[in-house]
Amino acid sequence: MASPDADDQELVAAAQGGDRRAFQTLYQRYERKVYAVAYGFLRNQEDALDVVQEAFIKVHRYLPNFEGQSSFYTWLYRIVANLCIDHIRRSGRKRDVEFDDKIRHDGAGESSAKLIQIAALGNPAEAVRNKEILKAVRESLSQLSDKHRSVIVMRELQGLSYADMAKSMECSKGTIMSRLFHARRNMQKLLKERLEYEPRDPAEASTDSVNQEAAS
Amino acid sequence: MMRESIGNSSISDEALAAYFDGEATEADAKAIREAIEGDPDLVAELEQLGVMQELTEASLQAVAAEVPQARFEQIWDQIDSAIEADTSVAAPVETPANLWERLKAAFAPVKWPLAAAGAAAVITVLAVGPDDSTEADGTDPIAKGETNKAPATPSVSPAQDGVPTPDTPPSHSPTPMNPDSRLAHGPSATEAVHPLAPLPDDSMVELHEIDGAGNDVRISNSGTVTVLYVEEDAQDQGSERSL
Repeated sequence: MASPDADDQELVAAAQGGDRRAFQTLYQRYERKVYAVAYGFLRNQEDALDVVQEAFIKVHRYLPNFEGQSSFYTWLYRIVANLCIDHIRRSGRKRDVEFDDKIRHDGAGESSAKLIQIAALGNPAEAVRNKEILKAVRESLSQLSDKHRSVIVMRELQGLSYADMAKSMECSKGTIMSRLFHARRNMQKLLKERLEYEPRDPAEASTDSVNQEAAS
Repeated sequence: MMRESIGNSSISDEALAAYFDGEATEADAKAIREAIEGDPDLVAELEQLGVMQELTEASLQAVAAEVPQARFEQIWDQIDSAIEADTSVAAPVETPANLWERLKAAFAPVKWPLAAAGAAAVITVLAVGPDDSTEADGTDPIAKGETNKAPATPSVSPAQDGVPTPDTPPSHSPTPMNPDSRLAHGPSATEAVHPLAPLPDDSMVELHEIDGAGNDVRISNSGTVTVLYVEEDAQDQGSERSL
């Protein structure tokens, strides 16, 4: 039986040999990461949990065919991305406002606006612990179109290559490159707008958040 | 496709993003590395890409952290059940090796005596034919009760409820039939049940005995098909069915 501290490769090998505990360890190792990805795509807790379940059942089913040419988590994330994209297609949902690639960021002086945004975030290391900023990021992400949000999640969270993303989204690498560029731009715009509604001193907000966390 | 350049360099936003993602070509990567050295705007742009990536990751991880562990354990239980079901489906199912084995399993043990009797009767007629049923000495081989070709035992032994069962020994043995009357009536002599034997290679089969279990047995020969009728006693039948 594989140790819970074993690396992915060992656990995968044990699971391929029928060790159910090894597979459970893999599940426990990735359950929240997979959920985070699925939630990023779908923005719904139950849908995301359904994808978690479906993904691991699928992984187990195809585990005998996994030859380890890519890392386990890359393989797992590809499966999750495909399931999420299928889910979005099946649901046939469309956002009321599909952001056109050129709508939100074709003005002059784009770069200087982004630099202001960076300043509003304060220290990046503290920003990632600031609940208000994280909430603003999440809300900005949910305002993106499905396609833009998908490429953001696949790249920023899953680290998928352009080729893998293109395969999942059934388009060319050039389309992915362009789509990702515009998605990032829109994301920055939306985040800036959200943070501007609360013109607080970022350093103060960050400190408040940390204090609240310590108190709770 | 939008190709904005950043700062004073000729590097486009998309090219810089591809460089950040590790997707730039070797030539582009070299050009961008050189441009970065003298361009703070490019450096700031790369930093911003890094910050946005960290924030996106952190925001979704925070969402995942809010889900109670018990919920993930429930999901595991469902995954485990699905795996179990998959394993059950994948397990090999024992099936009889061939058609004969499956037929034998289907007919045994209850239906063998009746099936053998019917098969033997039909095979006899088809193999010998109605015109050839009389041998050189003018006797019907069925009526003769010969067993020289096959020791098949088409013994029909109704049980008390009227259903033939192989476990019920025959209470009556058949009376050799008169080819003219083709009617047998029991009870008469008793004989042991012969074990079922394989059919002979030349397909010549003769009925050795027919056990009517005290009922009238009548044979109808319509040229190519012979039908055996077992007539139950009307009074007994009524009383049995009333049970």
